[in-house]
Amino acid sequence: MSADDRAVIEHLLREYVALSAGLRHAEKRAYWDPDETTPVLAPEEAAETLVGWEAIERYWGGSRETIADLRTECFDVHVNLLAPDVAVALYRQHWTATMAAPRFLAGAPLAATVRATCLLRRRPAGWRIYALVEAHVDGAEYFAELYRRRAAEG
Amino acid sequence: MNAAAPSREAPHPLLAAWERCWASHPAAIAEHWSRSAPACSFVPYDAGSIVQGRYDVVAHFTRRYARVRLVRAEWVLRAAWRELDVELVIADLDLVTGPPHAGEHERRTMRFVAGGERDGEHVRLRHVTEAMPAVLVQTIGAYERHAAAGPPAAGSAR
Repeated sequence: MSADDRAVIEHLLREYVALSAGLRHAEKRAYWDPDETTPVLAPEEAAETLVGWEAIERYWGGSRETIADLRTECFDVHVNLLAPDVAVALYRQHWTATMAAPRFLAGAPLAATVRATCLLRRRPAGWRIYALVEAHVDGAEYFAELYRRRAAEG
Repeated sequence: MNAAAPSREAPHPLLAAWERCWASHPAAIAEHWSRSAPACSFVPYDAGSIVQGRYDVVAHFTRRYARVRLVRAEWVLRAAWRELDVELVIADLDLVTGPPHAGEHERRTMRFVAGGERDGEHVRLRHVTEAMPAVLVQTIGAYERHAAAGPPAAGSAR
């Protein structure tokens, strides 16, 4: 993989993740491969893996009803080339959200950092996403890390 | 590709390769990963890291094996792609693990991503993601399963 490919993919991912602000989901679709018949999206909070455009669009539409405000940024991006035209990009994304129904979650902002695995292929128009999976750790490890962090804070 | 019924037989060579990574000896694990060591990567369920490089990937599996063993994996294949010699697969995984010796099992449900390369008859892993859902989703799922199971028997701690 050339340094150019790596830089192009990283730039694309930063643009894509930034579209979370304002929940600009319609614009997100342009970053996906339009010819992919089995796109896969697995958001961290979704109970089911979303397979196909109908499921993905329904999820994007539904998030407008539950989230009032969302800001997301990505960092620690690793791009591994599997073939000249296929890449897997790994990164962390940090989001801060306010829910649309604050009575359920006290109205205070919520935030988390999650690892993302993004599959991309090179198309005539450039690199395009065809699968995106968000990965949390096991609950036991999550809480152990929280307790370690609190201890380190003194 | 539509979801099929859960299968205990790994429905894809990359999934079978991952199952064989639950092994004690580093060489037995490394055998299932790409010869291109720097290109190997791993997002494990039991640590918050993004592991890069075959040496560190194998070290993670070795440490895991010292702590926990694979008891059973059930797969639902969600999508698979083959592009030249590159294989990619996404599946839902129901994973049951247990301690090295006698003890209680643990069961987790996660999304699984694997990418790899054909090398003759073999498929070698280049990337694996073991993706647990958000902790809130894991917790709600536990409450739902608790409700479905009904009240505990007298004297039970659960």
